[in-house]
Amino acid sequence: MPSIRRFLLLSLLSTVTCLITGAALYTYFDVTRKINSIFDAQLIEAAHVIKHTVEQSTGPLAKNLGDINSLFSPTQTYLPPKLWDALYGDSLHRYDTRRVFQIWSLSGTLLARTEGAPSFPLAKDTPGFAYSDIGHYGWRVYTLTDDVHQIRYQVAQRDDVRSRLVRNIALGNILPDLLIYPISIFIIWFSVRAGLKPLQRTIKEVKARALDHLQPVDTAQVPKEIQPLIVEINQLLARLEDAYSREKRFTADAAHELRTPLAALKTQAQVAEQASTPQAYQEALSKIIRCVDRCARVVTQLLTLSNLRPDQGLKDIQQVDLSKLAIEIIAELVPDALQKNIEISFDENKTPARLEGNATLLQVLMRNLIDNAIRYTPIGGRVEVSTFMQPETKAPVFCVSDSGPGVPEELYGRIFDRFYRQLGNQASGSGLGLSIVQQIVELHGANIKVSKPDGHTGLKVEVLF
Amino acid sequence: MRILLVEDDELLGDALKSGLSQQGYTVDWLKDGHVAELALLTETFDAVVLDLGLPKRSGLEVLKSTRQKGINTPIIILTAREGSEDKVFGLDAGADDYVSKPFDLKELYARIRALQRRAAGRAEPLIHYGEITLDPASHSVFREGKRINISPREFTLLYKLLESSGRVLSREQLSQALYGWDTEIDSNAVEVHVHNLRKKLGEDLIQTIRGVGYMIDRIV
Repeated sequence: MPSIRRFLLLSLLSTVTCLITGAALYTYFDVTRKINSIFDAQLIEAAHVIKHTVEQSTGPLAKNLGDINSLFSPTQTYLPPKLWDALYGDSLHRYDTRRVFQIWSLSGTLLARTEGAPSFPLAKDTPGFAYSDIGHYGWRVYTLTDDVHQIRYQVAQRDDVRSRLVRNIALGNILPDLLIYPISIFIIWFSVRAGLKPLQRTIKEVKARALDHLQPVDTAQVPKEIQPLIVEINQLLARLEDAYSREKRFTADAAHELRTPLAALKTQAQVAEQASTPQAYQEALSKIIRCVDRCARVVTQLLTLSNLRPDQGLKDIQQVDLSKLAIEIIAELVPDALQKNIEISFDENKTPARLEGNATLLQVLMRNLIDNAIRYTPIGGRVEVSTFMQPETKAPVFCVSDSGPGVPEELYGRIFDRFYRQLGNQASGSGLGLSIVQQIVELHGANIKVSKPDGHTGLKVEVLF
Repeated sequence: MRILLVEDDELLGDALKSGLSQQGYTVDWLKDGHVAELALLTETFDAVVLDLGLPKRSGLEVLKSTRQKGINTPIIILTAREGSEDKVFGLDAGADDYVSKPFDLKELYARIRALQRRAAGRAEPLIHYGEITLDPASHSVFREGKRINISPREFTLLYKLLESSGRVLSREQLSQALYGWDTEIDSNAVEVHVHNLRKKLGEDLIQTIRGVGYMIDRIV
């Protein structure tokens, strides 16, 4: 599972680590190089200072080796105070660079040396820089030759002292870099944490949602980056809320709708229990059976309705010939119509009304509409069924009209509500039939139009696919 | 005893009518609120069983307007909704009692009896009159502790006269209580039942007020 927090922490920390390490290494090597050249320059300078001092002591134009020799007694291995000062000044502190030097005549006689300098040459006599190992230490040696006075100066510095100094200075320079490192780690950790905090808050908000608390999450508090996600979640919540309240209402309505037939069933059963004659008993029993049939019909309709979920889409789509279906259903319902002496007719248009749809559901739709028409049409009335293609849109239409009492225009919208039954109607029904029709119509992306038939009372229902 | 049943559902209405008739009640069954209200305003009933979900005029509207017009007939409502809302509204609109669907017939009978008792100003379930005792629950009549064989119509007639003892009841009132609108009544039917009751319970129990009707005198 990808983690934004881990990714941010890892990438930022590794980047910062690389950068700081790189910077520290660069600083270290750069400082080392620069300090080394400074020390080298100091060696050169020291050599010249010694040379200059020697020349000063003997006079600028002294050409005589003996003059110079007189400066040093042959056994004197230590520098006179003057030279000492010139060389070291007040540099005897902890950065004492432990420089030593020797003064040689070009013929190879050691004229003078500082304390700690050996009595043999510090390096070969070629002028310039050299390394040599003397005693336990390595030395950096600078050789300066004075051809005029026939004198060679060799100034040396112990390499370990020098590199310790270099290291100290270089490390001193990279120390701030290294100090930045833990601070950066802390800042990164803190920023990532603070940056993701709104996310935590949003998670908590979403977590608080339960089935009975599906209010949308407040987007004002949500970071811009996950705003689209929360908007989507809110839409999902709204759909959930909708479905949930529909389910709740449906259950309540269903319970309510079953209460009356159940009450009839129980009452009729108790009547049967108390019946005094076999005829009364038989009569009550046959009424009980009618009550059970009615309960069963309500349950069947409820199941049909709950299976018709608009969000689940239409399944088993096939080519359907509306007029063929209509004829089948009418044939099925003709006995009911005849019983009420209702004239039922079918008007098939020449152009076949075909469409893509679910045949089983379309049958349910037609059966409900035609059955309704028969149910609400008084004895001797008329029910007309027709299928045709709409001339303008070339869309198929299924139409049922009856000669019943009709429905007041202001109630057209309500007749599709679940369990809505028109006041005063004598026909028995669950009040679910038209609701089922409505769902099937929606699933097919069709429209339903209710109107009054031309020329007589009644109801005309058109399904426009 | 005449009961007005107002229920739009065919099956339940039919079942209730059968059940109440079995109990010896005379049942007039109406299927919408508008007609029910007219009936309540023009006729006398001993009790009303009223469904709340009615066509044309809801049970609540019927309750309110009949109570406003001073009709005091005991009314028991049938509710189908969960929760107490319907019951509270119903009782506050003037109903005397309620049962929730699906209900028990025996409970409905008992509640109707209780309402009648209260309407007659009694608390005692049995009606005592001299040596005669009438038990509305078991539909039986006793004279000096001995059970008298009595037909349902005779029982209803006696119950009605005892309940309104001291008042004269017209022949129409009595025949309505016995038959409602349902049956074609023989004009002598009430007289025949009175005659039978006199034979079983003594000649001087029921008095004939000539040209007005019948009465049972109040016990002094």
